[in-house]
Amino acid sequence: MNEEAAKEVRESETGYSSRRRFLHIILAGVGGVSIAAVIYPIIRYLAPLGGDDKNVVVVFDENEVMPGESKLFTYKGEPSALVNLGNGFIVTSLVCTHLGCLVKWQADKKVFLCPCHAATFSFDGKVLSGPPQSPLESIPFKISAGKITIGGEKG
Amino acid sequence: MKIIVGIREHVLDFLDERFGFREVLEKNLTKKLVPKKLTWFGCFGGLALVMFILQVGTGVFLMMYYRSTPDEAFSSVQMIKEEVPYGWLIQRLHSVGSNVMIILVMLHMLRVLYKGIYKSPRELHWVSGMILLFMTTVMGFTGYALPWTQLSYWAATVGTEMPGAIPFIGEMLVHFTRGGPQLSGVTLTRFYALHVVGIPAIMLMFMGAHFVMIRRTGICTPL
Repeated sequence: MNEEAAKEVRESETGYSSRRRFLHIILAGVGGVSIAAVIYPIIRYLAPLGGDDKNVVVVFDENEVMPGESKLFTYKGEPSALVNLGNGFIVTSLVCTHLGCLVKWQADKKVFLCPCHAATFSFDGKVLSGPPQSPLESIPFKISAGKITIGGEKG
Repeated sequence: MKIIVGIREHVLDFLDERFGFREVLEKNLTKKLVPKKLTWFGCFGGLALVMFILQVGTGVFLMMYYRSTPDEAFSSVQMIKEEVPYGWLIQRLHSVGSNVMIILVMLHMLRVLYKGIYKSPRELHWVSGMILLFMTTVMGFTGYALPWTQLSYWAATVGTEMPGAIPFIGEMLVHFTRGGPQLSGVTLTRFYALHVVGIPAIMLMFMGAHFVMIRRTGICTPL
């Protein structure tokens, strides 16, 4: 019998091996709890502080926006705009569908221009030029009694 | 289980071939013998290092919410303490930790002084250590001003007034440290810059020298 095997037999007879395993488990448990006690406060500390815009309905007065002008607001946390075209309104997300920059309404050219790669979108959100593959996301709204209600049920 | 151990060994072999960390670990940790008769009093320096690491860690987290302007300094610290989850814990660890660190560095210094460990060949340990002690207190002083409370403001006023006692250049020194004749937002921002980058960088350099030297000469063993 070589030395290794003899040691193994000795360990199993005396219960040394299982005691060692028990201590390993205890040590790992205590260590894990200690590390968690440090990590948890740090994660809570670093997590964003509330303030998430959970607005699901935004209401504007019809004459709040002059013809040709736009009004910015956040809808479900996304920067969005209400544009008065003169003959009607459009409500759209301002997040460019290419890489997420914020487009801006160009009142003189009647297009949305993305500052990052000079993409342009028409007033109804369709891609006119540049790298984006899909149109701006439009947001449902309805007009009644001079009030523009954005969001809520479709209509 | 055997596979995991096998993979671990493989990865460690790969890294060891490139870094040679096993040799370093053996020499400095696993096969390094603790000097005979070394008592717990020999731990003050190491504990001071632990406190330094804690101060850096909590300090980085505090910087994420702290604003170093006279208008916002106080309110941002209030926000950390009252609104940010566990902000009270981080802020308290940092402020209490600073006091603990100064106490540990002082005890370390007193022991070295009392036991005569500063003698040849450890003179430069003492010199770099005194610089580190001074830097630690400057960290405490600049950090104390940052919450911009009444206590901070007047403590910083008194502290920066002290060089004024030096003949001829005293007043110039006072204006220099304050960035003007009176304590102002300029003082706050320069204290902030010193506290978070300037002094820690200098401390790291002297700590490096301190540790390399103690590795070379060894901890002084009692007779």
